[in-house]
Amino acid sequence: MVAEIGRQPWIVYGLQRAAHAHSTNVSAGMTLFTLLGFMGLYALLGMFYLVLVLRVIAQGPSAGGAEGHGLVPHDASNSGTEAHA
Amino acid sequence: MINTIWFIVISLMLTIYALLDGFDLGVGALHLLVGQTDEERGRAIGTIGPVWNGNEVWLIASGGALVVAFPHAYATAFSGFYLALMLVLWLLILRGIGIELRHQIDNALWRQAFDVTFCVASALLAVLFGVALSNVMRGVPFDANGEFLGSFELLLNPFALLGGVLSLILLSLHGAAYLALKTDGDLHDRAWRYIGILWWPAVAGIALIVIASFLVRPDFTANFARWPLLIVWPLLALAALIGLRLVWMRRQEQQTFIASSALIVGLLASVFSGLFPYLLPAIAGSTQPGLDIYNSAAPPYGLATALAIYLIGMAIVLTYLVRIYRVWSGKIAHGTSYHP
Repeated sequence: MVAEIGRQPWIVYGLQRAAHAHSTNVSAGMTLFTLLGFMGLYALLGMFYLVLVLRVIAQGPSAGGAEGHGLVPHDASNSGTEAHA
Repeated sequence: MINTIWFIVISLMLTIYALLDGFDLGVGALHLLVGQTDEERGRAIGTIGPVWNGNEVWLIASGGALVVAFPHAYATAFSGFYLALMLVLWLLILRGIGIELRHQIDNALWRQAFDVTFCVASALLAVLFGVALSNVMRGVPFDANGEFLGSFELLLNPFALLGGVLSLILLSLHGAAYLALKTDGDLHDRAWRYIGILWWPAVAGIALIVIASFLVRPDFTANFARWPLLIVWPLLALAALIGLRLVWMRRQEQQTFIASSALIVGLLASVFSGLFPYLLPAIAGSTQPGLDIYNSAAPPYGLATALAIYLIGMAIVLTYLVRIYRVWSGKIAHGTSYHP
């Protein structure tokens, strides 16, 4: 976004203005239609994403993933005898 | 000379795309028909699961090659075909959504909804790619500025619609051959039957479009007269079409897939041979000549540099493409479904 906003009003800095760079045959109406189309598609995708992520959150952490790597708790009594072995 | 090389590079990349994403689209168009149960449909999607994303990239890469080598053609074509290309883009997105979200929730309605999305998007994509190629063959009306506006009446002319239907038939045939290669059991048998069913409309469609192309572009055969060696491509297509039926009757799976691939290669190479040197011909009555590889090319330095980089890149891509298909070779197991 920084790049896109920052380079206005140039599309190619020092050589061409953004206002001169549009396709002459593509009307504003077509662009608006496709923009709304993309927004709609992404809104749909976003809704699916929300549904799926909320489901995963609601399921909670799985039992299998909580074990394994990390600190392994051990008996205090065992460690004392092994250290002096 | 280097313009010709770039023309061949782009033709090759589009052909590879048609071969690879062709069977993805074919599997998508057919999977509701060949897969009667949820498990079978999951398995059908599983055949293309690991590879469909990489296959689609060949389309992007072909577009990229067009940007690099023939920017004027890219600019004119993509703005002229604006709405049609946006539709293709949306269908590609929907096809991907259909595959990737299908298995996320264990619910029959959820799976059904995304199966239908995947199927319809794949079928429409197959049709639209055929329409696009036919329109490129037929030419577009250039105005005084050297641009054109591709309205839907212009793009959905009878020749293009014929091309679209033929594309759907051929890609479905290709997808069925791939499915038969990668599955076993009932799914395999049904896919095998569909190859036989689809062969007849394929023959009819190819015959019709060959006749129609002589009417739409009578000068199409000029290149074949000038370089007689190019006749090898239509002959390859013909041999593949007949050979496909023969190896199918002998129940040879690998040869059937090879024949289907050779058919697509032969047809596309014939189209590109006839099109050369034009990238976007002008239809009769245009004020401007069409865009060819000379008047729409980037400067020679750019072409040469890009070609060197592209050849290295393509070598790497082809190497891992072969590797990926070797890794995923063989029939997929029952109960497989695509979980990325």
